[in-house]
Amino acid sequence: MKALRTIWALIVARPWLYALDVFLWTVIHAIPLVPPLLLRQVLDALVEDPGAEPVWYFVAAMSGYAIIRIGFILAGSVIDAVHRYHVSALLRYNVMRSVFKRPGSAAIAVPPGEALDSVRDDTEHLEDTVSWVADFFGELMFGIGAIIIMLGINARVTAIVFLPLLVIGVIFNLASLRLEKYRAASRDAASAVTGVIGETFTAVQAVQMAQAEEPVARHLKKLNQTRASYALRERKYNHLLDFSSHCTISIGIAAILLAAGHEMRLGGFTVGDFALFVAYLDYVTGIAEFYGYFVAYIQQGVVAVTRLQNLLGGTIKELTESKYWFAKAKEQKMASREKLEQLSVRDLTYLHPNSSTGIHNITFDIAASTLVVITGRMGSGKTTLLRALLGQLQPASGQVYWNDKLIADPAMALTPPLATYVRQTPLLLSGTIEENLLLGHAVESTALGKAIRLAVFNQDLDRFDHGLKTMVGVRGVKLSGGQVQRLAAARAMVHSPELLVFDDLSSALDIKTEEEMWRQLFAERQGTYLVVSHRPQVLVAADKIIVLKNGSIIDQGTYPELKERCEEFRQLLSAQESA
Amino acid sequence: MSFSILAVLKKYLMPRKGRLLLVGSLMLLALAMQLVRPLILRHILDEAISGEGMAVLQLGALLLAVVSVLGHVFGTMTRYMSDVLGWEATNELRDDVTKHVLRLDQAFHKGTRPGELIERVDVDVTRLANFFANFTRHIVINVLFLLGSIVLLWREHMWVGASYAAYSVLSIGALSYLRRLVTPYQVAERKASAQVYGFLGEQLAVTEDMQGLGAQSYMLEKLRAEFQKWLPHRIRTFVSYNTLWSSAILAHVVNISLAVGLAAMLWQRGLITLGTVFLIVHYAELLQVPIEQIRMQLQELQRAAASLRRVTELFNTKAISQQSTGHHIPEGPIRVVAEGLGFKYEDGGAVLDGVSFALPAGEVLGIIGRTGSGKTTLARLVARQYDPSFGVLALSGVPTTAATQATIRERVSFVGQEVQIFHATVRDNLTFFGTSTNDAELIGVLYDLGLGEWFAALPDGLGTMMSHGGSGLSAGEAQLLALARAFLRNPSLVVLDEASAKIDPISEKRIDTALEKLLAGRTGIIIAHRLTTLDRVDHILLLDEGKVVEYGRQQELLNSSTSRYAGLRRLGVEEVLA
Repeated sequence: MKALRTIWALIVARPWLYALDVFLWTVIHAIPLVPPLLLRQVLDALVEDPGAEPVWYFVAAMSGYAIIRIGFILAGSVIDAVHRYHVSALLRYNVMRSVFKRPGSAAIAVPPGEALDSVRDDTEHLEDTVSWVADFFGELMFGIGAIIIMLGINARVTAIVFLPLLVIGVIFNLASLRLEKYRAASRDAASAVTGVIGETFTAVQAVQMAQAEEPVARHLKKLNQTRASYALRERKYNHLLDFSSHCTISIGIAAILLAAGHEMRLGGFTVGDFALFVAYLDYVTGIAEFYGYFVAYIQQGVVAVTRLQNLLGGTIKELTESKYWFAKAKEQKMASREKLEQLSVRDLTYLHPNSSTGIHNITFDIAASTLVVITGRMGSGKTTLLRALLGQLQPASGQVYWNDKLIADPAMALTPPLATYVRQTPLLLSGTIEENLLLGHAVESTALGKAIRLAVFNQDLDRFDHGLKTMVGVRGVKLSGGQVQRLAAARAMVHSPELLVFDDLSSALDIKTEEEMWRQLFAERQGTYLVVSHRPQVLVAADKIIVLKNGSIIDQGTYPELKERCEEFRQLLSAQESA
Repeated sequence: MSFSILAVLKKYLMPRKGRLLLVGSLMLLALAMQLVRPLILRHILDEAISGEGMAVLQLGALLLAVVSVLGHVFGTMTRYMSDVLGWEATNELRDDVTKHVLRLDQAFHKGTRPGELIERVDVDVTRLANFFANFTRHIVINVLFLLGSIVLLWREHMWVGASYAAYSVLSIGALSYLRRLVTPYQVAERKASAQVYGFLGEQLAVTEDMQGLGAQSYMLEKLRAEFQKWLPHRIRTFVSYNTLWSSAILAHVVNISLAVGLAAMLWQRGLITLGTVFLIVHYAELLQVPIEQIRMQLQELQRAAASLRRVTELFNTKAISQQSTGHHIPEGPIRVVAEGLGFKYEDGGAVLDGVSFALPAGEVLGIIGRTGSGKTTLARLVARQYDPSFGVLALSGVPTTAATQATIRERVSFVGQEVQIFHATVRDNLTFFGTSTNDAELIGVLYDLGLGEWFAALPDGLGTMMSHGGSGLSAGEAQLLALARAFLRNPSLVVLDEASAKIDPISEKRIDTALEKLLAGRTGIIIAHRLTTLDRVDHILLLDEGKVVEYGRQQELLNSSTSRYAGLRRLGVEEVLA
């Protein structure tokens, strides 16, 4: 029912367009009722009067039929293309919309390659299904029409038609559960393959340097074989279903023709009738098969819907909601600015899945216009703390307050102009530098210039031939590692956020430049900064230092205070002074 | 490897020729059953009209049922066996493509999105699978069916046979011609859809960045714009595709009119029975199917050819390693010598310009310089990810261009800044799915590098599944994992490209100690991030704008009053302009 509900919701998303689609395709599928009728007439005319010349009428009528049908087909193609496009676009848009709404790290639970596979193929499956509903309706009309016409010619012979149709219906209904299971298994196996291909080609450099091409290829080969065996199992079952329905139909046709021959001897059945029956029966069996597949396809749709729902993390209603896709494109609006006076973090706890590590009961305050530095050794939870605070990880417990107001959804709220976050390994879009800086926000050129200057990106910019219009390449590959990070820092400063969060800038900026940056930022006197760093120069400048160890705060204070009383802090410092 | 449709068919299908023959025979049997059916129908009809007894009719109907069922038996077997053959052949092809692409240079991979490669390695190859599985079968069966029907019609009357031979040739020709007119639209549509999927793939990767910047609605609007660009292509492809269908309908009308005209003429002259009139018309109907199928298969052939072209393109993209004389690099630690070394990208100025230095075997070189000074490029040349544009870089006397990439990579380990964690076990992540290393050694290296605590916390030890992005693994720890990967391969030369940039001072010190152990008896090149990491380095190379500013033994430089490096150290500058 899940699949049916989804399909229905997709149908009513654009009811009039769909109604037009159904009308056009019904005519396209039902109008082939005409040629066998014409053939029957011409054959019967020939038998009755060997001297008659009915052939020319036949040719003229057939031409008319062709012209009408072709006209409908061309119109139907346009409408179908547009409707199909809206169906899959709407699904994809909704999935991406909710992906972007979710906490960053939980946005997709599977490798991007696998998620892409789902966004591509599962939506296509539903698109096909919705489009085929229109076809199915047309075929159904044909079937009903054919049966009425045949009943009109000879009811006794026609009655036999129903038997094989009934048998096929039963067969496909019985088989549907298993079809669905096989389908799910083979889709999952296919996703695993694309997931690994994606990861492999992202890591291709490491794989090559490790000369691991052979073992990685072998791993992929194994996954491919698994996929093949699941796909073949599904195919085998489909073939068997086909086989049983074909045989049922063939035996049915033999029975019908036997009955027709019998009627013919009695004189109640003409050659024309015979030809018409043979032609219609061929069509009707085609329809029965189509029906079988169509039902199976709808049932397989459950798999597609479930996979999309997993990606979307929502109900069918949310998946098929049409208002977002059909809404007019809106200017990107930023949240309203609320001056930061104090940010308070209370009892924040997060544990990594599959691991006992994480952060425990983190509590601290950040006063306005201060620099707060988080420090600690590797794996002490610095990045985890930033991400949990910003809502990119879903904390197990704890709260974050902005000026004593609880932030209900930090992932949504802590964005520009309230806060921006520069990750340790930022990613760029494969557009121009300007696009990466603006990301669709309207920004004054002075603000843009200032951000570039503050992030010390101006020197880099001067070196590029096309300045802001320079293309950064796929995932920013045309820039060096340091340039990517400086660009990312500039990108975060464009909106002069109340709270700027940096996760370790040290691989982006040399210490002189970083000191210069802090000097300028403080001269501007506008922001509050939360930074992960080990640099003594930054630690000295900090208003407050938070020392993390094994996921807990072991001390917080100023540089002189901590140097005095915190052993871990002294160790961190001495490790750098030994030079 | 040179590729054409025939070459592919030969390479991947010939090894399976026994089963192919079996499929072929079954196919012929199925075909025979199909051709016989109309003859039985005529028989039933003629018997019915002439008023023979029910027994004859019953026999006819029984025969019809038996022939049809047998046809389905043979048909189903053919189809399933073709599927199996198709999957086998394609997996083999896919394996070959994967291996090939994995060996291509960075120059290729940097310009290609992973999503695009999924399209090529998977989607294109899958299309070829369908082609393998169906094309030959369909084409052969349909051509034979067509020929068989024409022969049978010819037997009824020469004119009918001749007319249908002509009709078949003409209609297939006309439909194929039309097909050629619509192909460009389909090619354009595939390109447009690849663009959309490439974009979607990128979107799925950058969610966290975009969220932190409040750019979600911008991304969604971009997505909308990408979709909208796609729509006109979709409409054009649909219309063009259905134009082909429409022409098939026209052909059908011509076909039936021809059949009715011919049959009527022969019947009116008393040359054929009423049953034969039906037979002619029925064969004409049946003929339409193979004509249509042949047309569709030719279209499929075209699409498969396009996929094959893309796959061939991949095959024809040669890795630089394949252009070399395959010199052997002498055993033991590697001596690295550069003479007038230079490198420029195809579309840019020189990144490295006349770099010379000589690093004795077993010693460690530290390279410093600001962004864009060419540090990383130099490191990549050593690992033969690129070839020099001019000058020579020799490893123990063998120019990098004279040794195969495989030889070099066997001896040289490179650790870069980016670490990719696979959705696989810790063991597979360390060995890249290899099998040769034993667990004790793996765990030993983890402890050596200071990942012991992290390892101890894993629920299933080396068998723990790591999730995408490496849950619970900090950026620093991920870099340590990459170091572990490199040392597990027991290299003679280790190149570290700012591999400790994201590690805190305490851990870095620990790694320094570990590195000292790991670098013993090996040559090392370390692109330094912090000057403190250079303490144990024997030589220093200071680069600026692709040129060597200073090169020498660390101790000598430190003792020199004019050395820029010594100046930096004296000033207490900790880090060189990253």
